[in-house]
Amino acid sequence: MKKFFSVIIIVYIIIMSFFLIDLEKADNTNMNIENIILRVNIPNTITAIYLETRIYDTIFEVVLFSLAVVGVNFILKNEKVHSLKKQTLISASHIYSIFLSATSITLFVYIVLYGHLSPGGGFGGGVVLASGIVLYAISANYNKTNNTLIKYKIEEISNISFLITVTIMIYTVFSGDFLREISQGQEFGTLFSGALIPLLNLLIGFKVFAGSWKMSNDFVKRRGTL
Amino acid sequence: MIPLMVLLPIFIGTIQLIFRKYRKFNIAISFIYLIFNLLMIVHYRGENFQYALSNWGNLGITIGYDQMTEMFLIASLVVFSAVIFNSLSKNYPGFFYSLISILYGALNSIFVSRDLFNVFVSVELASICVFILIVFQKKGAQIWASLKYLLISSFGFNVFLLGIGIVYTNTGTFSFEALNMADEFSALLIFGGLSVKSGLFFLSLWLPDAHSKAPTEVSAILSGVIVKIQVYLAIRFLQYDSFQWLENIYVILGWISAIVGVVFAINAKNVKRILAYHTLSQVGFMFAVPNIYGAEYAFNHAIFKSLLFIVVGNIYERTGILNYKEMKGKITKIDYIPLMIGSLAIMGFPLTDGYVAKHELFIHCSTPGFVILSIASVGTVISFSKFIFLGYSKGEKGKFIPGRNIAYYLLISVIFYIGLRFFTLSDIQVTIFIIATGIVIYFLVKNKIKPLDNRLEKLDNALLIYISFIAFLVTYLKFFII
Amino acid sequence: MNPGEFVVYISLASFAIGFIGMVINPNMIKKIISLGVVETSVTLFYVGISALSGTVPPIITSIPFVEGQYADPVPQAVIITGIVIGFALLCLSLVFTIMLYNRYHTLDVRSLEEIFQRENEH
Repeated sequence: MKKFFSVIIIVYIIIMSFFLIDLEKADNTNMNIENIILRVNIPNTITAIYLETRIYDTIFEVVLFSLAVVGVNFILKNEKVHSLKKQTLISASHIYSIFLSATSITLFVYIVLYGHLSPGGGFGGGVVLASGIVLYAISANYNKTNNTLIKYKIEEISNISFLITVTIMIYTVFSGDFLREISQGQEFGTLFSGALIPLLNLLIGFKVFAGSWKMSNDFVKRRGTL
Repeated sequence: MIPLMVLLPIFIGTIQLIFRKYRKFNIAISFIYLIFNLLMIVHYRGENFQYALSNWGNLGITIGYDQMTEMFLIASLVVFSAVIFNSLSKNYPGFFYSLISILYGALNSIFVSRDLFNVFVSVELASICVFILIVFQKKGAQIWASLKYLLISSFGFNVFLLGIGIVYTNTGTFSFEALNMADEFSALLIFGGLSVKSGLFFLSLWLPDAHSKAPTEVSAILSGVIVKIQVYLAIRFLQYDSFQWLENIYVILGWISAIVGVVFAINAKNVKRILAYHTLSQVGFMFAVPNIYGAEYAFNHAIFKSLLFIVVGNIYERTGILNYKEMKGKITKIDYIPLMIGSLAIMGFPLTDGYVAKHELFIHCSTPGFVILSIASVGTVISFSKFIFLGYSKGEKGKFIPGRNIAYYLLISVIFYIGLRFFTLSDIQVTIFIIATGIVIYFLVKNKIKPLDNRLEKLDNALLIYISFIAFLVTYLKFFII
Repeated sequence: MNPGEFVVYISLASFAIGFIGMVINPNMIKKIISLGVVETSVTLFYVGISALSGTVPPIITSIPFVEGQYADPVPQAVIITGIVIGFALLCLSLVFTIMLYNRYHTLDVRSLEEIFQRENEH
């Protein structure tokens, strides 16, 4: 009865909202794009908004993501861990996942470094890399992946990149055109015309990769407990 | 320099997040931003301005500062200082202080921001801190309270996102000024999204569980500041044209919440639950007068409610008792005095800040509002008489813990500062009449207290009530406004 | 019909479907997945409103800017933040569910609520 009632109410709301919603678009798209191009001087206007005009929001987003990672790790610390040590290996999936993780590393570098020229950016790149590595870990060799990432001190590096990211972003909020002034004299549409934007994308991408890996690591360790 | 009030706590929070193993270092650097924000509030006192960050105009984010912002900034500063002082004597890990810092930054960001999307991001950052803080002791009930809060509030904020999307489509900007040109439907979605976190009865029924199950310090922050976010935003948005039609709905919701919340509170026995139901009731008071006077009441409520939650939490941590009847004779003098002052303040006793705020509220509301709020005030007095007449045990001497006592002194001094500075004698007979009636009724009903059914607080029912409310708003808008 | 408008209506419908899933499923995991549907449909909504002014991606190839049927970059840029927030919230809610399951060995909301009701009374 309750379920039936709720379905009726929500359908009613949606039908009413089709009548009430007003999708008349304010005509400002071209003006916005022109303003951005004039001041930021990079082709991808979405990256320009994400890392220049609304960078204040992006700080919150990066902090929120790191906080969620640490929070998940903190909350799950004392929960029981999956007891099986041995992983069943299927050779076909092993080979394909090696191929996929290699592809994902290449894609990561491309998406992150060309984030201001073509679609892409730090967050997308980080997720691509993390999904490649996690795929390798769960289908081929979890322990090896984990040991490699510990050996290369991924967590420490990601912490440092996180701190540098937040520092640069906070500085940008106050100094306005700081990112652009570095790139003066570069030709429109080249790699270095983005000034610090590729660097910021790289740092965010690395942070997102390390965070997603750590989060999925926590889930993989406790597989079967749910 | 205003953004630094937000970004410094967040920056320090990130440092604390990275060095979360070093507890003492984390505590020490927490004081940097508290002192800095105090200096900034003193520096910008009474100013009123608004500008876009790095001159980006409509594309960027607008930051503003005015009287209401200042009031809420002071409230959050006082509450967070008290909470940090109170937590010194307990062994919270370093991660706790990192969460507190980031939460403080996010809250300040909501109060200075004049950008709809930035409000969304800040509220969600604050919410994530709160979700983790509620489960800090990893008890089952805490996890359930937090999960319920998460599901309901994140659904509500998706509705909010739809609303600001429509505002952007119609006006081409996310800044608050766009609300002057937006249509009523987007106002509906924005208000509907906010109301789920507002702490109004029937709309945010996750609140009693979350506030009463959370650790002491977190309860104080939740009831002190987090609930005020929505009060602040509701009052702020009401200044814009597209929200005008919602004013009567605000007021009526406030009346309902004030009365129903207090009925539940009178019948509760668990001390933390009593306080949580009173938060629902008091938010109703603020919504009943949705202008600067409601905001003033919110400021004062932040102070005395966080004092009450800190004291009650400390008593609970020391004795392990939650039922108020069993508390009798186990409260030390050090705890009893702040408990009594907090209770007197929330009752609206003369010389405390509760009297000043309630007086302003009664002057500026309509006649039916005055009657309803007076009845709710009588209810508040009945409910808090439970605390007043507990008395303290003369045998137990109670340890002197510096951090905890500084927290008490800080909050008590603010209560008395405002109470004495703005004290007026006009209409004092109303207050005395309310308090006297309440105490008399308390002695009549004292032995009949029995907790009411909390069936409405179940997850499905809460969601259903919420969606029915939105359906009501949609119908009202479609057939009576347009 | 403008493709953007079409996407907006579809996203509103999927918003409703997600909410219905949240209310009628007693299983916690299914509730969380439904919340994911709601979040994704809001993302879709933003894509829709950015396509109202045109569907050419706002990536400018040559420098003297020529006006055209560009999609609005602002909603697309801000919703990245929304996606990250949704991701973090889903992770947290899954973690809470794991913990609840480890303690009470059930995912059914009704039995969980009964358990906490009894805990409250004690």
